[in-house]
Amino acid sequence: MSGAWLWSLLGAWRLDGLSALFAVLILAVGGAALVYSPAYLGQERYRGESRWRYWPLFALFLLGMLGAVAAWDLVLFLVCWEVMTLASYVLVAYEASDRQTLCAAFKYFVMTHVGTGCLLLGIVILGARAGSFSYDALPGAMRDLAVLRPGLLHLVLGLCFVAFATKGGLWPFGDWLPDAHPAAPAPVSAVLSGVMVKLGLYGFLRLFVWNLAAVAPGAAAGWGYGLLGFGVLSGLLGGMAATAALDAKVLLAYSSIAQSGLVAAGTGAALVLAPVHPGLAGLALLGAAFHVTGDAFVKSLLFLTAGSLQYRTGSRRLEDLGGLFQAMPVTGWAALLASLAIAGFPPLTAFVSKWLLMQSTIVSGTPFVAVAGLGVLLASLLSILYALKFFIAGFAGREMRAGDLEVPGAMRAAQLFLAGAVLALSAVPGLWLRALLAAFAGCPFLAASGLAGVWGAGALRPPSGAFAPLLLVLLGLGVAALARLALGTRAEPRRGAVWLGGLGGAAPRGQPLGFYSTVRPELERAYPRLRLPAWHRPAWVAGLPAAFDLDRLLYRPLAEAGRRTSRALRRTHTGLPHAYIAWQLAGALALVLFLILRRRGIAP
Amino acid sequence: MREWALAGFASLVGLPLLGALLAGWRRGRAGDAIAVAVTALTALVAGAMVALGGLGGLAVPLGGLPVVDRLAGRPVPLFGFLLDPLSSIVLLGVVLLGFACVLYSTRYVGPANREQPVPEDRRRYHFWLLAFVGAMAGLVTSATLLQLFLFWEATTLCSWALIGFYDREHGALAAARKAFLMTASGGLCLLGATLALLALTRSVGFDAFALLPDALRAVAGPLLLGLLLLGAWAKSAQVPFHTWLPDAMAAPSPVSAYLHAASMVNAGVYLVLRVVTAAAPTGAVPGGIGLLIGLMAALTLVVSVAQFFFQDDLKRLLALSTISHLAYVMLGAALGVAGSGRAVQGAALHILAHGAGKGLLFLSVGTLSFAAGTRRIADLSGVLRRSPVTAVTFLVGALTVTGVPPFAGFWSKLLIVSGAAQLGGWGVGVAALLVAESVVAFAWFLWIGQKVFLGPPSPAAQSMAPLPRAMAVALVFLAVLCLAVTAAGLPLAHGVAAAPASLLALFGSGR
Repeated sequence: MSGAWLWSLLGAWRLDGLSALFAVLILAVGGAALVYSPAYLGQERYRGESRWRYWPLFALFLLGMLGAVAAWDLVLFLVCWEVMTLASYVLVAYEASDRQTLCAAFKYFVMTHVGTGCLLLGIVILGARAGSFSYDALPGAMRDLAVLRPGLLHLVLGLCFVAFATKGGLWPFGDWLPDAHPAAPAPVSAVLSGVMVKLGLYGFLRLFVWNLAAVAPGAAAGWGYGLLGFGVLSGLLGGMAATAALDAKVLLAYSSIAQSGLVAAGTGAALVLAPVHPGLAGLALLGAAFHVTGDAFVKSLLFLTAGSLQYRTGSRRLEDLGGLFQAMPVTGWAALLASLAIAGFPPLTAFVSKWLLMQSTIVSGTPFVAVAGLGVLLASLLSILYALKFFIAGFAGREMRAGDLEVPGAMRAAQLFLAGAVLALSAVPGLWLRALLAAFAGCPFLAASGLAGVWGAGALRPPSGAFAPLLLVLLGLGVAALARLALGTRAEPRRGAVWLGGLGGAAPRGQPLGFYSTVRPELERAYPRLRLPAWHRPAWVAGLPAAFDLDRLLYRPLAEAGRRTSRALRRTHTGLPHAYIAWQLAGALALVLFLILRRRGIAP
Repeated sequence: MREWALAGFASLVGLPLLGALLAGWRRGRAGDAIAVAVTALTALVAGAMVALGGLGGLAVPLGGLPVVDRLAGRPVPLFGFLLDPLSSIVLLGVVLLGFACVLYSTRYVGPANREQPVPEDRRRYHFWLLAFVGAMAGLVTSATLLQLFLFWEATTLCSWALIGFYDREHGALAAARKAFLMTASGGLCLLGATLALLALTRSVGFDAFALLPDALRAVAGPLLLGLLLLGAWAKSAQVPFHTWLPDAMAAPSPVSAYLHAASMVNAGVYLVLRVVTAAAPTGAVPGGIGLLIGLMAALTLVVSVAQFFFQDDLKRLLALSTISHLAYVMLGAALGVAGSGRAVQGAALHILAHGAGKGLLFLSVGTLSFAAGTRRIADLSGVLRRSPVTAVTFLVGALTVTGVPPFAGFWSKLLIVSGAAQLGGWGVGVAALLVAESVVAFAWFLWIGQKVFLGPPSPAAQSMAPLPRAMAVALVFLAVLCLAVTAAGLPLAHGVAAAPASLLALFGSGR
């Protein structure tokens, strides 16, 4: 650990398939958000804020993320991770004149730094064990630890788990998301949820799948259960909270938690299944990777459309929105596409990934995994609920507004670019899956999974065992046509109880409060929030500073004693010449007496 | 080599002293110019010496006193200069921060200061500050405990004069007396230990503990180390002697930045690191003493961080944070006694990194006193609008001392924490404590920074005067330093582990 080591850090970059996947996402989503930003920041509420706090930090944010995925050294990774965190903190707090924004940013900051602290500790222990912080030394160190000190290994993994789960937004670690997202400007939210949250998942993939699974499959499977459990829980709870949310960006933030949960569940299932069934494990892993890709585009697109809504209406509250589909056609279509995609509507992205996830889990034959697969199914049902709610409450659901409210060209372009990416992924998922398979050559069990040939024949022609997106498109269109035939073009709202398909009571049609109104309170309670309480100091706290006042014990008594001694000594100094002469005489007499006694042999 | 080395050491001490006389004589701009030029020159000399001989080591023995030689029956080296990686690290902090603080003071101390306006006469101030620079440079380049003690007392005296600089205020005088009493009592303990060592081993070298006769080692070793520790604790404001430091915040801000972050308080931890690196490899530092250092450091850490949350005065908050960071260094030394060379490297580097970061923080807060007339957290808000430089430098300083990559504090903390983790077992617990402290301190500093710099401007912030250029330059200089010292500090810290023992031996037994 010398200066030379520090300089060698500068060269410790490497881009393998896994890193490249995330780098592509960062560049694509980051680029779209950059294009979207200038017009968006023209809003009145950002007028007072300096752009110096935006552009340089946005660049730093993207660079930090790129560095984190391209780093091939734990310390370098940590440095980039921290750069990314700090830059994103400043961006979340961009609207600095608003107290609430600052509180939200602070909560984000604290939570994510608890994670970073854990990560630092884990990395330091690992590095101290390995003798080097390079990724190349990781497998060896983990193998040694797994044999010699399994407890320490699990401590390290647990610390890293907390860090990545915090960044990745898993319940309950990701509680900062629903606060930070409404506070941040929309393009920042898009990058935050679109890619930064995904870097937590990158951490899981890099550490648990790429390194741990290769050398200690047993330990990896154990943590796979953890990932699976937390993933499914996040999927369910995040989904419920999103369904109950009344604020567009809060809804999307919860949906980020839910979608992260699905990716974590896929990763966990892959780890659990790898020793017993590499084929299914590979399928689950690819499902997770595809979901990361798809959700990066879909989620950032959703945040941008939410930003567009706020840009035009000045509000994020769902009850203020609605009826904007005709006034903002481009944004509306983009939101429709993204909502359908996140709901898992075939053949869009989330459908592909969830299909792979469920295919690999529900029929895996491992009870825990199968149950978790059912949880994934339930979570994706919830995603339909909140995706529909977002779109209908945002763009339909009331009388169409008149006029042209479409956002400026640059913002439209960013949305169209992301929508195009979603469409491209959905049209030829096979191509992307093949690319992922090729890119993930470093994954320990993907080679053994035998998946290499499955998507080999191309995307448009369904080979045996895989699914056929185009067929499903046709199926979907058929269903839509049937529905249209059955309902007619102008269906009258049905009267009757909610459970019988009617509107039930006086709930306004399509209004956010009316959505799922019967179960909303329960849904809201489902996700226990970590609130920053308005903290009043208890009385005993006021007494603490006095308790810390150690002067009471040491300095003041001593100083007081010293002062008293000097005062006593001062008595002898009267200032009168007579007194001094008397002292001198007394002293001389005493000396003479002493000498006499000594001569006599009495004194020593 | 010896000639120019001696000339270098002599100018390290002599230049500031000469400057003190000159700047104490001329008032006005001329005095300022002399002070700044002298500190810049000292920094250049120190930089050149560190570059030429910091890693390899430079030593100039200056012999002893005939009377001592006669008593001992053989020549005893009592004085001398030494520059090795450890002293280089501390010396760099001393001279660089000295330059920045003197430059800053030329505008800070004067009638324009809104919190503490004083007449436009800095002669007394410059005299004591420059004398302090010389004394501190002498302290860190001293090769023996005896010479170190002499400079140690000189710094105590200068610190008394500087803390009490605002002599119209009773609080400042009381604080100065308190600081003087506590550190001077500690100095007496150090003197006692030095003289006892001289009597027992005929040596006042840093490795004299290793020379204790075997018959005495079991009793006298821990006893003398304990005495020396008392001195170090008092100087470095460790529990239970830490109370003088928050009170000493009555000093002008640049004095606080220099004395109470970058140099004087480091003398204690420097001494401990010195003794640990010199004597621990020979097994002369018993494990119990290491444990004592570690426990007191952990206690200090907890006590000081716990007081963060009750502090409304920004400077006192920084003082508490300084106490905790000195405890960090002490903990590094304790880990070194337990066998972790890496922790000692980290501790040495942390002296420099913390000095730069905390110095910057003090100077940033000083600009608030200067321009807004208050340093109460409750009165400040929205300063960013009025003074972006201060906001940025405060942030950089906070990130540096709390150990956020890529600033210097990260590397030193990384070395200490990984050194602790290397020891395994309880070492992991220590590492966890250190990381937890960092996170808490970081969160609190950001929270305070958010309160003070963001949000709507408060009346005090509204009325802020623009920052003089000299102060802004000093701030930016230190902010750059917070990033740049790593490049010089890491190689030097690496050298601390392989300290040239042969140099020390020159001043030890005469082996």
